[in-house]
Amino acid sequence: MTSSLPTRLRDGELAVDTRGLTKRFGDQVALNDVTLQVPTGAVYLLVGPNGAGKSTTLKVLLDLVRTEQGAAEVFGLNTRERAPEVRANVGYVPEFPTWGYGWMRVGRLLEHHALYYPTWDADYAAKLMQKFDLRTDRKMGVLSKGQARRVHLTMALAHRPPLLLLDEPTDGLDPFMRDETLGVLADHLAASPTTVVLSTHHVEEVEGLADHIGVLRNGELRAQMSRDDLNAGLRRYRVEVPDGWSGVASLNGTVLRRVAAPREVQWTVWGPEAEIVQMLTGSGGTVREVARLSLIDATLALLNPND
Amino acid sequence: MTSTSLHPTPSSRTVATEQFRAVGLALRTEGIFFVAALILFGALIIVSAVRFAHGDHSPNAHMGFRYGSSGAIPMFLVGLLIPFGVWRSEDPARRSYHWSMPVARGPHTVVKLLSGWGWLMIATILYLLFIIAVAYSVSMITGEQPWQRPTPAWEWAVAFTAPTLGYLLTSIAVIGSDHPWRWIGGILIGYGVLLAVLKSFGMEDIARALNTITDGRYGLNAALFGAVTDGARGITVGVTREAMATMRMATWVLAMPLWIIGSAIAVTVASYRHRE
Amino acid sequence: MLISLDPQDTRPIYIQIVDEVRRALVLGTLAPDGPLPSVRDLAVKLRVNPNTVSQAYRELERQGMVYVRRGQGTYASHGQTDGVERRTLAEGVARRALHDARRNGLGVDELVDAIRSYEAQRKQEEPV
Repeated sequence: MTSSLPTRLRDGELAVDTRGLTKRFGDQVALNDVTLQVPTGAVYLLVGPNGAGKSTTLKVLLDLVRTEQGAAEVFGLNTRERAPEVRANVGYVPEFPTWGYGWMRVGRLLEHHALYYPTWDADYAAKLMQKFDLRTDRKMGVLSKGQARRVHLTMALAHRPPLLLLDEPTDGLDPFMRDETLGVLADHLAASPTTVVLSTHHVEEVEGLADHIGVLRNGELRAQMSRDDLNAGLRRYRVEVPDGWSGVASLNGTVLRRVAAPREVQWTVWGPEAEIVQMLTGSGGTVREVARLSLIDATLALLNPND
Repeated sequence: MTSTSLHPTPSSRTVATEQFRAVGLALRTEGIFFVAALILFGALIIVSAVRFAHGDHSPNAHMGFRYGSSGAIPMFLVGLLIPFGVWRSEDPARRSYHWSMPVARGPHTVVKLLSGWGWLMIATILYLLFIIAVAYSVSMITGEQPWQRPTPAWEWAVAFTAPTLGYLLTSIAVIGSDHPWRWIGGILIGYGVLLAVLKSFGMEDIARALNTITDGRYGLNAALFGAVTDGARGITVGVTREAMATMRMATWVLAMPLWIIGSAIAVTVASYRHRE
Repeated sequence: MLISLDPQDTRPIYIQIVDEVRRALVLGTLAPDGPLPSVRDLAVKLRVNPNTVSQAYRELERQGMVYVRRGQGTYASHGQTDGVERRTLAEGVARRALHDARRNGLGVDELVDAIRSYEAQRKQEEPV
């Protein structure tokens, strides 16, 4: 158990492996030395505020955006040199709902898409269309944001790619459809071995699905780890402290949050639990509660530390 | 998950066929208007021919056709405008769909370009068949010869090369930039303004040199229609029609390949250039 | 048998699933030799990663609460585990209660007294 936030995963087969991606748009740094590591078969949640670089990272994997520095590999294929092969193995749901020919009808667009992906499963596509309550005869350009999103999900899932890159897959969907989408994803994962990288603002929705997390802020990957490691290492400590308490010199960990009230202090800390409890008790406090955090709370602490 | 179970990219044949069909679908509305315009125009001419045949005309008038290279002007205009239909994408996000396909972007863009050109050539064939059909129909109705003068082969060929050149030129702007109208408008207006400014400052020589881009021996007009203007105008007085025709063909034979190859290179560069 | 997850529960999800199955066994809503939903069905129902459900089923099998019939699915084991499971459930409840008590600054004895007196009072108020 390290005392600083991990940013590299331990060894293992990686579906997505980026090294030092750096991208500038004008004088704005979109990505700064991003080393993303997604193990094969993982469901990797990429979190970060708007403009943090999540969408840009996904686009780099598809060679839609090229970086000044760094390289990326998907299934061992360089994303720039072997881009068509990489894209043949990816199902992509983009952040913008206007994707695909606006003048084409939904059914025709699916036919078009199917021809580009030889592994297209037409029965599965039909099933998804039904589940998502989509009609084939409407033109893409007149669809609502949510309907377009569902068409894109169908397009991404129906050829059963080994890698799914989902940029806000439930954005614009009503609560019922959001829930349905999660069910569809769970079903998809059960049926086909798939690696998923998804970004979403609705972190609580993917509490059950995600098993890895990466935190992007201002184009930097602040933390990257498995859910198991997150569960093991991140704790909220509620400590009752006496009057005139002098504080604790240092905690063997990374303090993400510290909230103080007259007789009580609450820390959110990444680090070895036993040692931290010892230090807190040793400083004169009484540890009242050591709690694990939900995914959403952990995400908030990692995104907005106030140390 | 081993690399042996990675999915394949689509075959070139599948991509080419599908792009041709998809572009045809994109141009369907334009195509319908085109055919409707041809039919309407043809109907009008035939109606006039019928009235002409009933003596409803002035004594010296006649209804004969002469098809020359300038007959390619309508198809040239179609060729100029069609790229906007082929690449009908209102915003960069829509455009990125084409770029996200599991095909190398450069060749994929060229395939779409060629698909649009294919439909353009089909439209040109229809156009020429229409002209020939109308000419012979009128001839049957009025009893006159279908053609006043025989049309040299190269002037029939212009019907294919002029729209091709227009198509390539506009495609450079549409493929190469997010705002093609800015480039097209900018170049046209800039050219016109620059010429006017040069002339108004009395810099005739420089103005004439600039003007060769459109009106010179190897200029755009020569490449499109074999037009001979400006520098050659001084010697057209006293030249026979036959000699004039040969001169026009001679300029076209040189200028047309120059412009078409040049714009083909430019559009290929635009297709292969990485844009975000 | 109904399995549902408490969004407020921060324990690993596979542990929550194991506890839910244990509860079903003790309550009798899952009878001995009764079938458990397939990994896929349960994953879809709970909107949970199938790997997590597999992990839960493996843990259940390790603890002897279920067995796997090759090619047919997972089934509940026979009832002799009942007593053990009841105790495990009780320990879980106790752990949660003590955790809450500590948080409120209460000791074990205070908690036990409060439980007994509350139950006595409730019995008094019950209509006969």
